[in-house]
Amino acid sequence: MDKLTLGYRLTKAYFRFTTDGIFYRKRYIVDADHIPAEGTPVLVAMNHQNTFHDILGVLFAKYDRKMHFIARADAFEIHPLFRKFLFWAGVLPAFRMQYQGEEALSNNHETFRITEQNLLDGHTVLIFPEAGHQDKHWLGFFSLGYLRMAFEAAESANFEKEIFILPAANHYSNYTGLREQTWIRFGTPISLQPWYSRYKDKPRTCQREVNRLVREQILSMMLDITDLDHYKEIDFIRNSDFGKDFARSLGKNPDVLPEKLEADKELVRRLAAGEPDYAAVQTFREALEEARFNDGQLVSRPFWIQTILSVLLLILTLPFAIFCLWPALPNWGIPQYVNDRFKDNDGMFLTTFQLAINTLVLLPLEFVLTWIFTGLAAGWVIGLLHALSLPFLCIFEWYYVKLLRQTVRDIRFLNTDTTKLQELRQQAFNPLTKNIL
Amino acid sequence: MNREHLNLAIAEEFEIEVTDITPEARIKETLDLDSLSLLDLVAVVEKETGVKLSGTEAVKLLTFQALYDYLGL
Repeated sequence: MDKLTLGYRLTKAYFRFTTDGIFYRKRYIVDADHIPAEGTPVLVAMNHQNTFHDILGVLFAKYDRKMHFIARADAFEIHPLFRKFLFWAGVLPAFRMQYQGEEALSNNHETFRITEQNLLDGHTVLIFPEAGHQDKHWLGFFSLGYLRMAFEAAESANFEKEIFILPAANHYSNYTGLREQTWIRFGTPISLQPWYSRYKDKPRTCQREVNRLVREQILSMMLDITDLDHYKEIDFIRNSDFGKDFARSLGKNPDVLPEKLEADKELVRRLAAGEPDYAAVQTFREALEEARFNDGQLVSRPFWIQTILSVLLLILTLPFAIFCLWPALPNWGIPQYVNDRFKDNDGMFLTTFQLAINTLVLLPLEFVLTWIFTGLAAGWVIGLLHALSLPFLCIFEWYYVKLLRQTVRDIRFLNTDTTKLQELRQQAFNPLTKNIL
Repeated sequence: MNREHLNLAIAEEFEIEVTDITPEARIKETLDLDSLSLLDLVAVVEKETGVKLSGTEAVKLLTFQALYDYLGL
Protein backbone atom coordinates (compact mmCIF):
# COMPACT_ATOMS: atom_id res chain seq x y z
CA MET A 1 0.00 0.00 0.00
CA ASP A 2 1.35 3.45 -0.91
CA LYS A 3 1.87 5.82 1.96
CA LEU A 4 0.74 9.21 0.74
CA THR A 5 3.24 11.96 1.37
CA LEU A 6 2.14 15.43 2.34
CA GLY A 7 3.58 16.71 -0.94
CA TYR A 8 1.46 14.26 -2.94
CA ARG A 9 -1.69 15.15 -1.00
CA LEU A 10 -1.12 18.89 -1.41
CA THR A 11 -0.33 18.54 -5.11
CA LYS A 12 -3.48 16.51 -5.62
CA ALA A 13 -5.57 19.08 -3.75
CA TYR A 14 -3.99 21.90 -5.76
CA PHE A 15 -4.73 20.10 -9.06
CA ARG A 16 -8.27 19.49 -7.88
CA PHE A 17 -8.64 23.22 -7.28
CA THR A 18 -7.21 24.28 -10.65
CA THR A 19 -9.19 21.70 -12.61
CA ASP A 20 -12.51 21.46 -10.80
CA GLY A 21 -12.43 24.97 -9.35
CA ILE A 22 -11.26 26.85 -12.41
CA PHE A 23 -11.04 24.79 -15.57
CA TYR A 24 -14.27 22.80 -15.34
CA ARG A 25 -17.69 24.04 -14.39
CA LYS A 26 -18.71 20.66 -13.01
CA ARG A 27 -17.21 17.19 -12.59
CA TYR A 28 -19.43 14.14 -12.14
CA ILE A 29 -17.90 11.00 -10.67
CA VAL A 30 -20.39 8.12 -10.80
CA ASP A 31 -20.05 4.78 -8.99
CA ALA A 32 -16.64 5.49 -7.47
CA ASP A 33 -17.59 2.92 -4.83
CA HIS A 34 -17.15 0.27 -7.55
CA ILE A 35 -13.40 0.75 -7.23
CA PRO A 36 -12.26 -2.18 -5.09
CA ALA A 37 -10.82 -1.45 -1.66
CA GLU A 38 -7.25 -0.24 -1.30
CA GLY A 39 -4.82 -3.12 -1.30
CA THR A 40 -6.73 -4.91 -4.08
CA PRO A 41 -4.91 -5.14 -7.42
CA VAL A 42 -7.06 -3.21 -9.89
CA LEU A 43 -6.39 -2.27 -13.46
CA VAL A 44 -8.81 0.44 -14.59
CA ALA A 45 -9.43 0.23 -18.35
CA MET A 46 -11.05 3.36 -19.75
CA ASN A 47 -11.92 4.95 -23.09
CA HIS A 48 -9.50 7.72 -24.00
CA GLN A 49 -11.14 11.03 -24.89
CA ASN A 50 -8.86 13.81 -23.85
CA THR A 51 -5.15 13.33 -23.18
CA PHE A 52 -4.16 14.28 -19.63
CA HIS A 53 -7.69 15.25 -18.53
CA ASP A 54 -8.91 11.64 -18.58
CA ILE A 55 -6.41 10.74 -15.88
CA LEU A 56 -7.83 13.33 -13.50
CA GLY A 57 -11.27 11.74 -13.23
CA VAL A 58 -9.69 8.55 -11.88
CA LEU A 59 -7.20 10.46 -9.74
CA PHE A 60 -9.98 12.40 -8.01
CA ALA A 61 -12.34 9.41 -7.65
CA LYS A 62 -10.44 8.19 -4.60
CA TYR A 63 -8.96 11.06 -2.73
CA ASP A 64 -6.86 9.13 -0.22
CA ARG A 65 -5.23 6.78 -2.72
CA LYS A 66 -2.20 7.09 -4.93
CA MET A 67 -3.15 6.09 -8.46
CA HIS A 68 -0.72 4.76 -11.02
CA PHE A 69 -1.00 5.51 -14.72
CA ILE A 70 0.48 4.56 -18.03
CA ALA A 71 0.73 7.41 -20.53
CA ARG A 72 2.24 8.03 -23.94
CA ALA A 73 6.00 8.23 -23.76
CA ASP A 74 6.19 11.52 -25.68
CA ALA A 75 4.66 13.28 -22.66
CA PHE A 76 7.93 12.48 -20.88
CA GLU A 77 9.92 14.29 -23.55
CA ILE A 78 8.31 17.71 -23.02
CA HIS A 79 10.76 18.81 -20.34
CA PRO A 80 13.12 16.96 -17.92
CA LEU A 81 11.40 18.56 -14.93
CA PHE A 82 7.99 17.50 -16.20
CA ARG A 83 9.40 13.99 -16.71
CA LYS A 84 10.47 13.91 -13.06
CA PHE A 85 7.06 15.19 -12.01
CA LEU A 86 5.30 12.44 -13.98
CA PHE A 87 7.40 9.68 -12.42
CA TRP A 88 6.80 11.17 -8.97
CA ALA A 89 3.04 11.32 -9.65
CA GLY A 90 2.96 7.60 -10.51
CA VAL A 91 2.91 7.90 -14.31
CA LEU A 92 4.90 5.43 -16.42
CA PRO A 93 5.71 5.76 -20.14
CA ALA A 94 4.28 3.50 -22.83
CA PHE A 95 6.37 3.45 -25.99
CA ARG A 96 4.74 2.98 -29.36
CA MET A 97 6.21 2.08 -32.68
CA GLN A 98 4.65 4.92 -34.65
CA TYR A 99 5.95 7.59 -32.28
CA GLN A 100 9.16 6.31 -30.69
CA GLY A 101 10.20 3.71 -33.27
CA GLU A 102 10.75 -0.01 -33.08
CA GLU A 103 13.96 0.24 -31.01
CA ALA A 104 12.10 2.00 -28.17
CA LEU A 105 9.57 -0.82 -27.79
CA SER A 106 11.93 -2.81 -25.57
CA ASN A 107 11.59 0.02 -23.01
CA ASN A 108 8.02 -1.15 -22.46
CA HIS A 109 9.33 -4.21 -20.65
CA GLU A 110 10.41 -2.01 -17.76
CA THR A 111 7.03 -0.26 -17.70
CA PHE A 112 5.30 -3.64 -17.78
CA ARG A 113 7.51 -4.99 -15.00
CA ILE A 114 6.84 -2.02 -12.69
CA THR A 115 3.12 -2.08 -13.47
CA GLU A 116 2.88 -5.78 -12.75
CA GLN A 117 4.61 -5.18 -9.44
CA ASN A 118 2.26 -2.26 -8.71
CA LEU A 119 -0.68 -4.59 -9.25
CA LEU A 120 0.79 -7.29 -7.05
CA ASP A 121 1.39 -4.67 -4.37
CA GLY A 122 -2.35 -3.96 -4.40
CA HIS A 123 -2.31 -0.65 -6.26
CA THR A 124 -4.79 0.85 -8.68
CA VAL A 125 -3.40 1.31 -12.20
CA LEU A 126 -5.11 3.19 -15.02
CA ILE A 127 -4.50 2.29 -18.63
CA PHE A 128 -6.11 3.32 -21.90
CA PRO A 129 -6.43 0.20 -24.08
CA GLU A 130 -7.04 2.39 -27.14
CA ALA A 131 -3.49 3.74 -26.63
CA GLY A 132 -4.08 7.13 -28.31
CA HIS A 133 -6.98 9.41 -27.49
CA GLN A 134 -9.92 9.74 -29.87
CA ASP A 135 -10.99 13.00 -31.42
CA LYS A 136 -14.52 11.60 -31.61
CA HIS A 137 -17.07 10.11 -29.23
CA TRP A 138 -16.20 6.65 -30.40
CA LEU A 139 -14.54 3.59 -28.89
CA GLY A 140 -11.49 2.63 -30.90
CA PHE A 141 -9.55 -0.61 -31.25
CA PHE A 142 -8.20 -2.06 -28.00
CA SER A 143 -4.64 -3.29 -27.74
CA LEU A 144 -4.57 -6.39 -25.57
CA GLY A 145 -1.39 -5.30 -23.80
CA TYR A 146 -3.35 -4.28 -20.69
CA LEU A 147 -4.69 -7.81 -20.23
CA ARG A 148 -1.32 -9.33 -20.99
CA MET A 149 0.10 -7.21 -18.18
CA ALA A 150 -2.65 -8.23 -15.76
CA PHE A 151 -2.37 -11.94 -16.52
CA GLU A 152 1.42 -11.89 -16.46
CA ALA A 153 1.25 -10.22 -13.05
CA ALA A 154 -1.02 -13.05 -11.87
CA GLU A 155 1.31 -15.61 -13.41
CA SER A 156 4.34 -14.16 -11.66
CA ALA A 157 2.46 -14.67 -8.38
CA ASN A 158 1.64 -18.29 -9.34
CA PHE A 159 -1.97 -17.27 -9.96
CA GLU A 160 -2.53 -16.91 -6.24
CA LYS A 161 -3.41 -13.23 -6.36
CA GLU A 162 -6.87 -12.10 -7.48
CA ILE A 163 -6.54 -9.25 -9.97
CA PHE A 164 -9.47 -7.14 -11.12
CA ILE A 165 -10.13 -5.25 -14.33
CA LEU A 166 -12.41 -2.28 -13.74
CA PRO A 167 -14.01 -0.90 -16.93
CA ALA A 168 -14.63 2.85 -16.82
CA ALA A 169 -15.95 5.47 -19.22
CA ASN A 170 -15.50 9.20 -19.44
CA HIS A 171 -17.27 11.95 -21.33
CA TYR A 172 -17.04 15.71 -21.82
CA SER A 173 -19.64 18.29 -22.78
CA ASN A 174 -16.94 19.79 -25.00
CA TYR A 175 -13.43 18.49 -24.65
CA THR A 176 -11.73 21.46 -26.18
CA GLY A 177 -13.37 24.11 -24.04
CA LEU A 178 -12.98 25.82 -20.70
CA ARG A 179 -15.76 25.89 -18.05
CA GLU A 180 -17.33 22.75 -19.48
CA GLN A 181 -18.64 19.63 -17.72
CA THR A 182 -16.84 16.33 -17.40
CA TRP A 183 -18.11 12.92 -16.34
CA ILE A 184 -16.62 9.59 -15.37
CA ARG A 185 -18.38 6.37 -14.46
CA PHE A 186 -16.96 3.13 -13.13
CA GLY A 187 -18.42 -0.21 -14.22
CA THR A 188 -18.48 -3.55 -12.45
CA PRO A 189 -15.08 -5.02 -11.56
CA ILE A 190 -14.18 -8.19 -13.46
CA SER A 191 -12.18 -10.70 -11.45
CA LEU A 192 -9.54 -12.48 -13.52
CA GLN A 193 -9.37 -15.38 -11.09
CA PRO A 194 -12.04 -17.50 -12.88
CA TRP A 195 -10.05 -16.98 -16.09
CA TYR A 196 -6.68 -18.17 -14.84
CA SER A 197 -7.06 -21.78 -15.98
CA ARG A 198 -8.28 -20.62 -19.38
CA TYR A 199 -5.29 -18.31 -19.63
CA LYS A 200 -2.85 -21.14 -18.87
CA ASP A 201 -4.34 -23.12 -21.74
CA LYS A 202 -5.05 -20.40 -24.33
CA PRO A 203 -3.58 -17.05 -23.29
CA ARG A 204 -4.48 -15.00 -26.36
CA THR A 205 -7.99 -16.43 -26.60
CA CYS A 206 -8.52 -15.74 -22.92
CA GLN A 207 -7.37 -12.13 -23.33
CA ARG A 208 -9.75 -11.66 -26.26
CA GLU A 209 -12.68 -13.02 -24.28
CA VAL A 210 -12.02 -10.81 -21.26
CA ASN A 211 -11.40 -7.87 -23.58
CA ARG A 212 -14.84 -8.42 -25.08
CA LEU A 213 -16.42 -8.18 -21.60
CA VAL A 214 -14.48 -5.02 -20.81
CA ARG A 215 -15.48 -3.37 -24.09
CA GLU A 216 -19.13 -4.34 -23.60
CA GLN A 217 -19.20 -2.56 -20.25
CA ILE A 218 -17.44 0.56 -21.53
CA LEU A 219 -19.71 0.72 -24.59
CA SER A 220 -22.81 0.50 -22.41
CA MET A 221 -21.66 3.53 -20.41
CA MET A 222 -20.19 5.88 -23.02
CA LEU A 223 -21.48 7.69 -26.08
CA ASP A 224 -20.35 5.62 -29.04
CA ILE A 225 -21.02 7.10 -32.47
CA THR A 226 -20.04 4.28 -34.80
CA ASP A 227 -21.34 5.85 -38.02
CA LEU A 228 -18.08 7.68 -38.68
CA ASP A 229 -19.15 8.55 -42.24
CA HIS A 230 -21.84 10.83 -40.79
CA TYR A 231 -20.05 11.67 -37.55
CA LYS A 232 -20.05 15.44 -38.08
CA GLU A 233 -23.76 15.48 -38.83
CA ILE A 234 -24.67 13.26 -35.86
CA ASP A 235 -22.51 15.34 -33.54
CA PHE A 236 -24.08 18.50 -34.93
CA ILE A 237 -27.62 17.15 -34.43
CA ARG A 238 -27.00 16.19 -30.80
CA ASN A 239 -25.39 19.56 -30.02
CA SER A 240 -28.08 21.56 -31.81
CA ASP A 241 -31.30 22.88 -30.36
CA PHE A 242 -32.93 19.79 -31.82
CA GLY A 243 -30.67 17.63 -29.63
CA LYS A 244 -31.66 19.65 -26.57
CA ASP A 245 -35.36 19.33 -27.42
CA PHE A 246 -34.88 15.60 -27.83
CA ALA A 247 -33.36 15.38 -24.34
CA ARG A 248 -36.29 17.37 -22.90
CA SER A 249 -38.74 15.05 -24.67
CA LEU A 250 -37.20 12.19 -22.68
CA GLY A 251 -37.54 14.15 -19.45
CA LYS A 252 -33.78 14.87 -19.33
CA ASN A 253 -32.16 18.20 -18.62
CA PRO A 254 -29.84 19.00 -21.56
CA ASP A 255 -27.71 21.28 -19.38
CA VAL A 256 -26.79 18.47 -16.97
CA LEU A 257 -24.11 16.32 -18.58
CA PRO A 258 -25.10 12.86 -17.23
CA GLU A 259 -28.70 13.44 -18.35
CA LYS A 260 -27.63 14.82 -21.72
CA LEU A 261 -25.35 11.81 -22.19
CA GLU A 262 -28.24 9.38 -21.68
CA ALA A 263 -30.38 11.39 -24.10
CA ASP A 264 -27.56 11.50 -26.67
CA LYS A 265 -27.11 7.74 -26.46
CA GLU A 266 -30.81 7.27 -27.18
CA LEU A 267 -30.68 9.86 -29.98
CA VAL A 268 -27.75 8.08 -31.62
CA ARG A 269 -29.62 4.76 -31.32
CA ARG A 270 -32.71 6.22 -33.01
CA LEU A 271 -30.66 7.89 -35.73
CA ALA A 272 -28.98 4.56 -36.46
CA ALA A 273 -32.35 2.82 -36.62
CA GLY A 274 -33.91 5.44 -38.90
CA GLU A 275 -32.63 6.70 -42.21
CA PRO A 276 -32.03 10.40 -41.64
CA ASP A 277 -31.31 12.70 -44.55
CA TYR A 278 -27.74 13.47 -43.52
CA ALA A 279 -27.15 15.39 -46.77
CA ALA A 280 -29.73 18.00 -45.70
CA VAL A 281 -28.16 18.17 -42.22
CA GLN A 282 -24.72 18.60 -43.78
CA THR A 283 -25.95 21.43 -46.03
CA PHE A 284 -27.47 23.22 -43.05
CA ARG A 285 -24.40 22.65 -40.85
CA GLU A 286 -22.02 24.00 -43.49
CA ALA A 287 -24.22 27.03 -44.19
CA LEU A 288 -24.39 27.78 -40.49
CA GLU A 289 -20.62 27.43 -40.10
CA GLU A 290 -19.99 29.68 -43.09
CA ALA A 291 -22.32 32.33 -41.64
CA ARG A 292 -20.63 31.83 -38.22
CA PHE A 293 -23.98 31.60 -36.41
CA ASN A 294 -25.23 28.89 -34.11
CA ASP A 295 -28.42 26.89 -34.22
CA GLY A 296 -29.71 28.44 -31.00
CA GLN A 297 -29.85 31.88 -32.64
CA LEU A 298 -32.22 30.59 -35.32
CA VAL A 299 -34.51 29.06 -32.71
CA SER A 300 -34.40 31.83 -30.12
CA ARG A 301 -33.79 34.93 -32.19
CA PRO A 302 -31.90 37.55 -30.16
CA PHE A 303 -33.72 40.81 -29.38
CA TRP A 304 -32.19 44.25 -29.93
CA ILE A 305 -32.98 45.36 -26.38
CA GLN A 306 -31.19 42.32 -24.96
CA THR A 307 -28.22 42.92 -27.26
CA ILE A 308 -28.04 46.62 -26.29
CA LEU A 309 -28.05 45.65 -22.61
CA SER A 310 -25.19 43.23 -23.29
CA VAL A 311 -23.22 46.01 -25.02
CA LEU A 312 -23.81 48.31 -22.03
CA LEU A 313 -22.69 45.60 -19.63
CA LEU A 314 -19.55 45.02 -21.70
CA ILE A 315 -18.73 48.75 -21.71
CA LEU A 316 -19.32 49.11 -17.97
CA THR A 317 -17.12 46.13 -17.11
CA LEU A 318 -14.44 46.92 -19.70
CA PRO A 319 -12.02 48.54 -17.18
CA PHE A 320 -12.20 45.43 -14.99
CA ALA A 321 -11.76 43.21 -18.05
CA ILE A 322 -8.60 45.17 -18.93
CA PHE A 323 -7.41 44.73 -15.32
CA CYS A 324 -8.01 40.96 -15.68
CA LEU A 325 -5.74 40.72 -18.73
CA TRP A 326 -3.14 39.97 -16.09
CA PRO A 327 -3.09 36.98 -15.71
CA ALA A 328 -5.65 35.94 -18.35
CA LEU A 329 -3.56 36.91 -21.36
CA PRO A 330 -0.42 34.86 -20.57
CA ASN A 331 -2.57 32.02 -19.21
CA TRP A 332 -4.37 31.78 -22.52
CA GLY A 333 -1.59 32.84 -24.89
CA ILE A 334 1.39 30.80 -23.67
CA PRO A 335 -0.34 27.36 -23.82
CA GLN A 336 -1.70 28.36 -27.24
CA TYR A 337 1.84 29.17 -28.40
CA VAL A 338 3.21 25.88 -27.05
CA ASN A 339 0.38 23.94 -28.65
CA ASP A 340 0.83 25.63 -32.02
CA ARG A 341 4.52 24.86 -31.88
CA PHE A 342 4.29 21.20 -30.93
CA LYS A 343 0.85 19.77 -31.62
CA ASP A 344 -0.90 22.14 -33.94
CA ASN A 345 -3.09 19.44 -35.47
CA ASP A 346 -4.64 18.20 -32.24
CA GLY A 347 -6.98 20.57 -30.43
CA MET A 348 -7.18 18.32 -27.40
CA PHE A 349 -3.53 18.85 -26.58
CA LEU A 350 -4.32 22.54 -26.13
CA THR A 351 -6.52 21.84 -23.10
CA THR A 352 -3.77 19.67 -21.64
CA PHE A 353 -1.20 22.43 -22.13
CA GLN A 354 -3.64 24.98 -20.73
CA LEU A 355 -4.16 22.95 -17.60
CA ALA A 356 -0.62 21.66 -17.10
CA ILE A 357 1.31 24.85 -17.90
CA ASN A 358 -1.08 27.04 -15.94
CA THR A 359 -1.16 24.74 -12.92
CA LEU A 360 2.50 23.86 -12.74
CA VAL A 361 4.19 27.02 -13.98
CA LEU A 362 2.11 30.10 -14.72
CA LEU A 363 -0.24 30.31 -11.74
CA PRO A 364 2.50 29.81 -9.11
CA LEU A 365 4.78 32.26 -10.93
CA GLU A 366 2.04 34.84 -11.34
CA PHE A 367 1.08 34.41 -7.70
CA VAL A 368 4.58 35.34 -6.56
CA LEU A 369 5.00 38.20 -9.05
CA THR A 370 1.58 39.66 -8.23
CA TRP A 371 2.17 39.48 -4.51
CA ILE A 372 5.53 41.22 -4.90
CA PHE A 373 4.52 43.98 -7.33
CA THR A 374 1.07 44.73 -5.91
CA GLY A 375 2.56 44.36 -2.43
CA LEU A 376 5.21 46.98 -3.17
CA ALA A 377 2.64 49.33 -4.66
CA ALA A 378 -0.33 48.86 -2.32
CA GLY A 379 0.81 46.89 0.70
CA TRP A 380 1.42 43.19 1.33
CA VAL A 381 -2.15 42.32 2.40
CA ILE A 382 -3.63 43.88 -0.74
CA GLY A 383 -0.89 42.12 -2.71
CA LEU A 384 -1.82 38.78 -1.20
CA LEU A 385 -5.53 39.33 -1.88
CA HIS A 386 -4.74 40.25 -5.48
CA ALA A 387 -2.55 37.17 -5.86
CA LEU A 388 -5.24 34.91 -4.37
CA SER A 389 -7.86 36.34 -6.70
CA LEU A 390 -5.90 35.54 -9.90
CA PRO A 391 -7.82 32.34 -10.77
CA PHE A 392 -11.13 34.16 -10.39
CA LEU A 393 -9.90 37.03 -12.56
CA CYS A 394 -9.21 34.43 -15.26
CA ILE A 395 -12.74 33.06 -14.96
CA PHE A 396 -14.19 36.57 -15.18
CA GLU A 397 -12.14 37.30 -18.31
CA TRP A 398 -13.28 34.07 -19.89
CA TYR A 399 -16.95 34.92 -19.33
CA TYR A 400 -16.33 38.48 -20.55
CA VAL A 401 -14.81 37.26 -23.82
CA LYS A 402 -17.63 34.74 -24.20
CA LEU A 403 -20.27 37.48 -23.79
CA LEU A 404 -18.34 39.75 -26.16
CA ARG A 405 -18.26 37.07 -28.86
CA GLN A 406 -21.94 36.24 -28.37
CA THR A 407 -22.90 39.91 -28.55
CA VAL A 408 -20.92 40.48 -31.75
CA ARG A 409 -22.54 37.36 -33.22
CA ASP A 410 -26.00 38.58 -32.18
CA ILE A 411 -25.43 42.01 -33.76
CA ARG A 412 -24.34 40.36 -37.01
CA PHE A 413 -27.35 38.04 -36.80
CA LEU A 414 -29.79 40.93 -36.34
CA ASN A 415 -28.35 42.63 -39.41
CA THR A 416 -28.51 39.53 -41.60
CA ASP A 417 -31.33 38.09 -43.63
CA THR A 418 -31.50 34.54 -42.26
CA THR A 419 -34.48 33.33 -44.32
CA LYS A 420 -32.33 30.90 -46.30
CA LEU A 421 -30.78 29.48 -43.12
CA GLN A 422 -34.24 29.00 -41.62
CA GLU A 423 -35.31 27.10 -44.74
CA LEU A 424 -32.23 24.88 -44.58
CA ARG A 425 -32.90 24.23 -40.90
CA GLN A 426 -36.44 23.13 -41.67
CA GLN A 427 -35.24 20.83 -44.44
CA ALA A 428 -32.69 19.30 -42.06
CA PHE A 429 -34.68 19.01 -38.87
CA ASN A 430 -38.37 18.74 -39.83
CA PRO A 431 -38.01 15.11 -41.01
CA LEU A 432 -36.08 14.34 -37.82
CA THR A 433 -38.79 15.94 -35.69
CA LYS A 434 -41.31 13.69 -37.40
CA ASN A 435 -39.30 10.47 -37.26
CA ILE A 436 -37.02 10.74 -34.24
CA LEU A 437 -38.46 13.14 -31.67
CA MET B 1 6.79 -22.30 -47.90
CA ASN B 2 3.35 -21.39 -49.20
CA ARG B 3 0.48 -19.29 -47.92
CA GLU B 4 -1.28 -22.23 -46.30
CA HIS B 5 1.71 -23.13 -44.15
CA LEU B 6 2.22 -19.54 -43.09
CA ASN B 7 -1.48 -19.15 -42.31
CA LEU B 8 -1.42 -22.29 -40.16
CA ALA B 9 1.58 -21.06 -38.20
CA ILE B 10 0.01 -17.61 -37.65
CA ALA B 11 -3.33 -19.16 -36.65
CA GLU B 12 -1.59 -21.41 -34.14
CA GLU B 13 0.47 -18.61 -32.63
CA PHE B 14 -2.45 -16.19 -32.36
CA GLU B 15 -5.05 -18.82 -31.43
CA ILE B 16 -7.50 -18.04 -34.20
CA GLU B 17 -9.23 -20.15 -36.83
CA VAL B 18 -7.14 -20.47 -39.96
CA THR B 19 -10.28 -19.67 -41.94
CA ASP B 20 -10.24 -16.19 -40.39
CA ILE B 21 -7.08 -15.49 -42.36
CA THR B 22 -8.17 -14.36 -45.79
CA PRO B 23 -6.20 -12.22 -48.25
CA GLU B 24 -8.45 -9.20 -47.72
CA ALA B 25 -8.65 -9.53 -43.89
CA ARG B 26 -6.93 -6.76 -41.97
CA ILE B 27 -3.97 -8.09 -40.02
CA LYS B 28 -4.29 -5.80 -36.99
CA GLU B 29 -7.95 -6.53 -36.32
CA THR B 30 -7.78 -10.23 -37.17
CA LEU B 31 -4.87 -10.92 -34.84
CA ASP B 32 -5.66 -8.21 -32.24
CA LEU B 33 -2.19 -6.82 -32.77
CA ASP B 34 -0.51 -4.23 -30.64
CA SER B 35 3.08 -3.07 -30.77
CA LEU B 36 4.40 -6.06 -28.84
CA SER B 37 2.31 -8.78 -30.45
CA LEU B 38 3.34 -7.35 -33.81
CA LEU B 39 6.83 -8.52 -32.94
CA ASP B 40 5.38 -11.99 -32.30
CA LEU B 41 4.04 -11.92 -35.86
CA VAL B 42 7.44 -10.84 -37.14
CA ALA B 43 9.00 -13.80 -35.32
CA VAL B 44 6.49 -16.26 -36.81
CA VAL B 45 7.10 -14.90 -40.31
CA GLU B 46 10.85 -15.18 -39.88
CA LYS B 47 10.64 -18.70 -38.52
CA GLU B 48 8.34 -19.92 -41.27
CA THR B 49 9.76 -18.09 -44.29
CA GLY B 50 13.25 -17.06 -43.30
CA VAL B 51 12.40 -13.46 -44.21
CA LYS B 52 13.47 -11.01 -41.54
CA LEU B 53 10.73 -8.41 -41.47
CA SER B 54 11.21 -5.32 -39.34
CA GLY B 55 8.38 -4.13 -37.10
CA THR B 56 8.34 -0.82 -38.96
CA GLU B 57 7.83 -2.63 -42.26
CA ALA B 58 5.28 -5.00 -40.77
CA VAL B 59 3.10 -2.18 -39.45
CA LYS B 60 2.70 -0.86 -43.00
CA LEU B 61 1.29 -4.17 -44.21
CA LEU B 62 -2.41 -3.71 -43.59
CA THR B 63 -3.87 -6.90 -45.06
CA PHE B 64 -2.71 -10.50 -45.42
CA GLN B 65 -2.57 -9.95 -49.18
CA ALA B 66 -0.04 -7.17 -48.58
CA LEU B 67 1.95 -9.59 -46.40
CA TYR B 68 1.88 -12.32 -49.10
CA ASP B 69 2.94 -9.78 -51.73
CA TYR B 70 5.82 -8.63 -49.54
CA LEU B 71 6.96 -12.22 -48.98
CA GLY B 72 6.38 -13.19 -52.63
CA LEU B 73 3.92 -15.95 -51.71
